[in-house]
Amino acid sequence: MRRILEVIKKDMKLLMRSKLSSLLMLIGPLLIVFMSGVALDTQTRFNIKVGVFSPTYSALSNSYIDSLRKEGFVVDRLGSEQECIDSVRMGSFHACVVFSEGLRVDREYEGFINFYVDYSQINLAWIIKDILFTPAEDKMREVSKDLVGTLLDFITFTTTEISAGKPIVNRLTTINDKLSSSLTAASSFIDIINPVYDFNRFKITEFRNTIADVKTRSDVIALRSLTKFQEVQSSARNLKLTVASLNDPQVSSMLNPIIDDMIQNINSSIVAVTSDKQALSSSTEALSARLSDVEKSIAEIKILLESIQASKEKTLSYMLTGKQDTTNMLGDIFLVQKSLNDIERHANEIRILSSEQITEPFKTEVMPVVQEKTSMAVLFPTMLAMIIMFISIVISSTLMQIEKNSSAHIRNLVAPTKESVFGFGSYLTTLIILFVQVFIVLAIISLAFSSSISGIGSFLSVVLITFLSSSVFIILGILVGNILSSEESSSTVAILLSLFLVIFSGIIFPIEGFSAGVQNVLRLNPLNLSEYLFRQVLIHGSSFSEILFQMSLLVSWLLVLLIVLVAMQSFLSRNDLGINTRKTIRRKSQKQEKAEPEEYAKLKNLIDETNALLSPKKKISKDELSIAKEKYIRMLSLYQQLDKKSKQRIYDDLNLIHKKLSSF
Amino acid sequence: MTILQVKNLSFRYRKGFSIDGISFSLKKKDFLGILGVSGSGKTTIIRAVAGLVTDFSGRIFLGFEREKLGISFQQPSFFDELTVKDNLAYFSRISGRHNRNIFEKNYAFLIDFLELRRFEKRPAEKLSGGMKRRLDIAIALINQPEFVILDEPVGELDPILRKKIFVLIDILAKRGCTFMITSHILYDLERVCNKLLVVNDGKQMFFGDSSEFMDKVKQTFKTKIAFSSAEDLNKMKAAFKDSRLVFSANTATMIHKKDNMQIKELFYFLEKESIKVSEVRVSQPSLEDIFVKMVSNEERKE
Repeated sequence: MRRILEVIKKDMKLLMRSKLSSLLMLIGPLLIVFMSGVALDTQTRFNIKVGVFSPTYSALSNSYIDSLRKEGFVVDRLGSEQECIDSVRMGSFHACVVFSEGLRVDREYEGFINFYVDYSQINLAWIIKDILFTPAEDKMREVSKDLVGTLLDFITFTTTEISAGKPIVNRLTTINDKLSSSLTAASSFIDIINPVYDFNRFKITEFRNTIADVKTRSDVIALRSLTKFQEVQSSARNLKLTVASLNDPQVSSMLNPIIDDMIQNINSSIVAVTSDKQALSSSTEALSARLSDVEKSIAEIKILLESIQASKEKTLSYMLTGKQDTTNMLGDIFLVQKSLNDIERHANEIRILSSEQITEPFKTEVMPVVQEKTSMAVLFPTMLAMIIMFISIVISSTLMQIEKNSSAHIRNLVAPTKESVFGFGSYLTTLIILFVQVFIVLAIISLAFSSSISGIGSFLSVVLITFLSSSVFIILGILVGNILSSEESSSTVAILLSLFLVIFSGIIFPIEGFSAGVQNVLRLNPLNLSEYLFRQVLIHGSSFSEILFQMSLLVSWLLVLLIVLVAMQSFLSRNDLGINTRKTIRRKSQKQEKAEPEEYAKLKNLIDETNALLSPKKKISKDELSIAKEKYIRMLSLYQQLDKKSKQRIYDDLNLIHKKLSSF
Repeated sequence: MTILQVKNLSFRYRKGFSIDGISFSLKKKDFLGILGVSGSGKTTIIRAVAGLVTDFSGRIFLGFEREKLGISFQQPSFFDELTVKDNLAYFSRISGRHNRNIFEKNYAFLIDFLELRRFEKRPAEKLSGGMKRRLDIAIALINQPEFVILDEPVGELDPILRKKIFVLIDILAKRGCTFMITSHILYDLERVCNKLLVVNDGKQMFFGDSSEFMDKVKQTFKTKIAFSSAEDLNKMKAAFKDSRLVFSANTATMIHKKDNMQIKELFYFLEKESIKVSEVRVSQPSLEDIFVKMVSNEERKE
């Protein structure tokens, strides 16, 4: 443990060797996060510049432009469509909107709104497209709503009119029936009409003769009456004369009035008769005239009757036709009725009578899964994951290179410290630096931008994710540092590896844009996993169980990389100096055997010395032989003290000595 | 008691160089000097003993715990970014024998003895070559090892410090430490080593007491002839091109045993050809001379 701490201390000092570089290394990520927070701690939309063009702007296109401006876009009108498109290509504008000439909704008119977006700005293109489309969709929805509203009004009007008209149609049917019946009845009545008359029945001639006869007789009568009256009158007068002659005043007074009255009466009667006669004569004349008139009338009536007959026939004919027409009309009325019923039924089947509901049958709204966040809050998990990745890979690979390229490396190899201690120490060094940075970042975020990020409460989850993702990237960095031999190449590869992970993580280009097979692979990208986990915890406040699967993937990454690291270290070849790298040295250095037991060493020495004494090259003296024998006895004593293995090793040499001595 | 025994140590590098058949043994308190030219295999032997190379054939018996090994390599081996004190503390602690009190005592002693006190807080990379060498030695000795391997320990040191190092080595040797040391400075080895191992081209030329080696030295002579003219030198070269004469600018040198025939021939030739010589010197060869001769196989030819 102490050795690990020493390694960590040493690594920290190595990394902090240059105060400026150490400051940048520690403060850099913090500065990035802080400045990003200040810049992005806002919910305002992107400052998108949109160029628009239309050969002729209409109220509709102007309305859309106004809605864009209300959304916060900077909108400028350009001179031509090509200019508009070029402006997007050159980056002067983020998007170009081209309206057809005089954009409007008309039966005879086919308008368009074209959007030009630069998809090479992948990160912005989707957002622009989405944001620009929304006002266009709103506008189209608005227009659709109006049109649909008009249609619905018309349908409602139609339904109302149909409802109002149906009774009329029903009445028409009834009327038609009645008409038909009336026609039938009228036909029958008209048919009854027989405008034929035997005017001879009037016996005009006879009547005329009768009139004449009457006139004659009346004349005769009148004449006779007159004559009589005149006679009477004369009688009366004669009477009066008689009376007068009577010269009886009483009788005269009594009879004269009477006679006068009588004479008066007779005069009156005469007059009356005369006038009657005249009158009668006039009357007869008038009667004749009337009779003539009657004759005329009869003639006219005859004509009339003939015309009536003709009319009757015509009328009957027309009635017949009319009846047929009414019959036909009835069929048509039924058809109309059916059509009206159908129209009414279909109109009633239209349940949705709201233009809003038709143009937008389903309310579509992009609802935030969590409350609306600032841009900083949205970007922070990604930023954090990327910082951890870059720092982990770069620092760990740098530490490996410092270690490898340092002149102290060889001393580390000799030190009686396991290679894993050095590796683990470097790993812990990087981890500590990362944790310090992450916690400072989180502290800054929670203090300065606390409204943005709500998930800091899941402290343990954040710690665990930081640990796992850091560990994965640190080991990647260690692998890079181990494989490569120079700090420059290691840094380059570390950066390239980081870039590779970023590009294929969905941060720049959505993973969903790749093919399905590739997507499945890319989802395993550790940067993608870390970013996802941080986002889940920091923004969505997910619980541990909800992110367990992704955590386990990171753990798998960790295990796999550890295995790769261990395997790689086993197969690392010697460097040019012939020095095996750490672990193999540590393990293989067991070849350097522990020293033989002291007795064994002594025995060996004795054997060497005795061999030297008994060297066949020279003549052996008695003293030397004696010394050799003494040595041999000591050898035997030492031999007894050895373990079995040592005995086996030394036996042959000892046996040789024995044989040599035996030969003397 | 045998503290180290190497038997038929053989090892081959990937690039072809190898050591072959190296055998020696050391008892406690022995001081082995390994002698050889650059690339002869000295460092390989040290690495094998230290456990850095393992794919060797032969056997190595260690009579001590690995924790009790102190080693100083030819290239100073420590962390440049750490200070002197940090380096010593670190290597002490990872040795597994760290004891704070002992460390403090040793640290104080070594730092002062090796004159590193003034630089103890200086990063190692900012030390001079000599200081680095001293630091390396200090690291090797910080934990009171029982067996110390020093690979060219005094190469970059001035004579005074060199002497100090050997005094230190002496002190430790008296405390029971066993040393294995390589050096090009044969004078130093001559002074301190009681055992000598001579290697050349990966092969063991000699192992035994250094006194035995010196006896050999005493039985040999070194004759050096200085010529007056280049012409004469060239004549000699032409006549003795296959001999053991070593020609330099204007001299010819030979190390030989007494009554060496070739020397006689040489003087005969000088006289016969009336070659003028400016100087003839016959002396006892130094250890270096012996060594040079040994590695150039003159001894074998004799």
